[in-house]
Amino acid sequence: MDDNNVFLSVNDLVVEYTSDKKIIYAVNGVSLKLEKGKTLGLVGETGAGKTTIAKSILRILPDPPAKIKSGQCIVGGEDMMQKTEKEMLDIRGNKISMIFQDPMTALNPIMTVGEQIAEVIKLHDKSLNKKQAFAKAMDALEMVGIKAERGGEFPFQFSGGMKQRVVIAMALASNPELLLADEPTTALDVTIQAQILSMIKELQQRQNTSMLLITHDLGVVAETCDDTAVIYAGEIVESGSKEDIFDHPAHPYTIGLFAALPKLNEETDRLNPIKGMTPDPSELPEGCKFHPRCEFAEKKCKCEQIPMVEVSPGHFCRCCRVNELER
Amino acid sequence: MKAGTNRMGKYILNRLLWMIFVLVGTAIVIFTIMYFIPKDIAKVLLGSSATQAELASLRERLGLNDPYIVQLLRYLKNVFTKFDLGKSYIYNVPVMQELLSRIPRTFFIGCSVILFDSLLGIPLGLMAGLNQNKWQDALCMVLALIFVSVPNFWLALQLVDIFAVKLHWLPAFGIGGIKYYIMPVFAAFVSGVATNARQMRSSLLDVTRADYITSARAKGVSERNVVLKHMLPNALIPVVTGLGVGLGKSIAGSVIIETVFTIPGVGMYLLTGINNADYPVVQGSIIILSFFSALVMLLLDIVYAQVDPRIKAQYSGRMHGVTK
Amino acid sequence: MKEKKHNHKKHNHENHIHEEQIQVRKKSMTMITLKRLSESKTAMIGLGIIILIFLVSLIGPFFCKYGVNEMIMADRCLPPSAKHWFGTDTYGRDIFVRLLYGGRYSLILGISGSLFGLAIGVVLGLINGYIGGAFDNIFMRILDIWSAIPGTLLAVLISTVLGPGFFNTMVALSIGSVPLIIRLLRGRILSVGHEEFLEAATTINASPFRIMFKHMLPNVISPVIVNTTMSVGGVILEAAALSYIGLGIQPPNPEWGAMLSDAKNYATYYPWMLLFPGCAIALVVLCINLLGDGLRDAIDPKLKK
Repeated sequence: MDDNNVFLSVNDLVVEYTSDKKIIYAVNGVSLKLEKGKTLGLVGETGAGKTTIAKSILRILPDPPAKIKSGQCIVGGEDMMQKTEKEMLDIRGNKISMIFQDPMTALNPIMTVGEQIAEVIKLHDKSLNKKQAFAKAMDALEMVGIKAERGGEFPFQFSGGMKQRVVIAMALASNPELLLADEPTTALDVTIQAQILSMIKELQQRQNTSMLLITHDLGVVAETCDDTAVIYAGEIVESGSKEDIFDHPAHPYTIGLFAALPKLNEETDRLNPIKGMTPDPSELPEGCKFHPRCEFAEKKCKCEQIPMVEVSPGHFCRCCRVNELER
Repeated sequence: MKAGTNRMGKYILNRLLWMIFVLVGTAIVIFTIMYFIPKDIAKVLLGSSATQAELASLRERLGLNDPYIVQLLRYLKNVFTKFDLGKSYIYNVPVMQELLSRIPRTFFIGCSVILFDSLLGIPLGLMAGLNQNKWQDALCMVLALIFVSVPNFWLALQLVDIFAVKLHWLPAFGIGGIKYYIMPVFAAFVSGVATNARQMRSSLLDVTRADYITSARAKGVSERNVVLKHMLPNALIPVVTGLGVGLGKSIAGSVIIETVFTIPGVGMYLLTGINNADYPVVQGSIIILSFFSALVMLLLDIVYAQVDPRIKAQYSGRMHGVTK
Repeated sequence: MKEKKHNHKKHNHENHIHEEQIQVRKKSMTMITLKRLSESKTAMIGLGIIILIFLVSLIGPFFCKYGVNEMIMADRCLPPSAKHWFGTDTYGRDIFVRLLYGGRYSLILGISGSLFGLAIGVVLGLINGYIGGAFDNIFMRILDIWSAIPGTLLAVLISTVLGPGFFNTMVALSIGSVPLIIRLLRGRILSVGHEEFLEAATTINASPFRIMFKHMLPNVISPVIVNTTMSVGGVILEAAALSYIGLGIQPPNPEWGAMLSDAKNYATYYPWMLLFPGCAIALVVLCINLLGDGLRDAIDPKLKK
């Protein structure tokens, strides 16, 4: 990775939630790097802290209960954590946009989709009047393949895939430099998924937008991403280029993820899931967070804070036995 | 936007037709319930000393010997074509004539109550919901809980004791200028305000967690506009529904409030009718109160369609993406 | 409608396998709800006071010096004192004793009125949910008319027709609450999937009665229970209002509303006659509302935090 070209860099981000006097350690010192115009896939299970990271970058986590304890989120050279709320209002939806997981609930049910897109356009270009903003919103709709005349309709008049297109139009309407896509296709039918993904990809390339793509679907990563980071229990356990991760997975968790995928070319009776459950984020295990489920776990895995190790140039792994295990 | 007005017109027309159906149905139900009064009306009116012949002639005169269906149809015809609700047994005055002079008073109380219910209840609930778990919230909700629990007629009696008898600020009963209505309206609206505030608070808290609120924030909408443009309109939808329920209560509550303050409105008339076994009066008053309630319901339906486009769109004939 | 179609697609064979599991889950859901409810301080305070009042009103009168309708002419209109805790009324009856007796009326009337309405609503709602289709259409139109007449007016009308008395008053109070219960049930049945119940039950050859009460009811009842708990307070207020205007429970029975009606003309001179029955009503209704709020939060915890 070319360090001069880094557009987004998250450094040692720590986020905690308080709920019923328990502290939930959602994000524990996450660092990420993303180059201009590139796509980084953030892969992990539900509850691993993926969405929290995205919301932290935009600083839209509800506080309380969530609290950003420490860390930096540098976007285009500026640390989002140092910005005032007023400056953030200007950045959200303009410089950084977000696509949400569930298009069914991400749109305001009682505003027309046109109004909702026009709202974000007008917020970030005060020179436009209502009519011009609406006209621009119609362009945005056309851009995602929805006829402009449907701009006067309400979300409930659209199907799920169409709603997600509207959400995408809304996110891309003001040409953001960074797009945070939080499981943009999870709630959609498989056939629609592919369409939406390729559309996001195409628009992203046209606008030279950097994208952080959050997903639990390795297939989606394979199709869309340049780099990949695997997150487990609020920690990045492995990161590198897509080829690094897919061809030479190094962390036992990543290896487990790939082993759990059904293989078309082999005859198997059952899938091989990773044993055990994701740890309770309020009571994370000491040492390596993955050790209770890891078949290679040793004594030292249980008590040491495991550092990231560079396995090959640009390919990092958080496992103390990675060199012994590598075959 | 022309399509929008057209759609609204269709909707209102539909609701109007519907209201006529409901009104007729209501009249039938009320007539039928009254028909089953297990008392011989002629005996009640003439007393136990009346002879059989007198009773029979009175029954004949009142049409009580006709079969149920004939009586019902006659009643409906009178109500809906001639606006005739029959004559009072006791005073021999047409019920409609008496009601006409009384309706404005009840109407005035009823409308003021609904107005205050929403004008005070909604902002209070909003304030409580936005300051969840802070002192404003706690104060509002404790007060609301107390006021939904206090019987309104008791509150009214206490008000009379304080403001009329002890302080002499307000008249204790009767009608006259606007100050005669202050206590009745206040006593009638506090519980509605409390109910609305509670409803508004919980529906706002529901909306606060909605995904589209997060997505509005992600668009860079300021906190003030998130509340005003995104939360409030959505949170109002269940509150408007709740207003309809509260409305029935406040109209029926007028019977009790009018009794406490001796206001010669429809409710008071109804009660006199009940005490005198003057059934045309009872029937007529209840029908008028139900009609009034149906009318306000219609207005609320129209408001509801304004806040919730999903209702209106049912009449545009264009629905997309109904299935997932 | 959307839900229906969606559920229709689900595999048939899942249904009967799950019957036992659903039973187990149901039980544990009830346990969880009760546990959450017991954690709510305010709800427990409410429940405690209601139980206390109820017990005292059942047992208390046996230990009192005065009979409920015992008139002591020498003691007329006395203010509260050690002898008569809450004073006496215009007939020289002890207000405290009468309040205790009246508590039975108010509480039992409030609870039985709500339960009676609940029973009618549940039976009609389940039958409607079971038959569905065109019947549902017609039934909903009838319901529209039913609910167009405000509840209290309906209560006034019915108690005029039926006459006074405990049972009649209970019926009068409950009728107005039925349409809302049916609507709530209907909404739940539609969202849980009307067809699924029928399919599941047909595969195991259940009788219509069994389908309605064993399969449908447990799945759709929770919002109705919350609603009914919340409505008990309202029914008590309504019962008091009915007695106050001379319908419902009749004097000399010491219903709280009737006591207020007796006292209304003497409020200025003998304020305690009005104060104590009113406070008693408010206290009971307040406690029931606390319990109702707690139950709602316990069943639907997301509202709380």
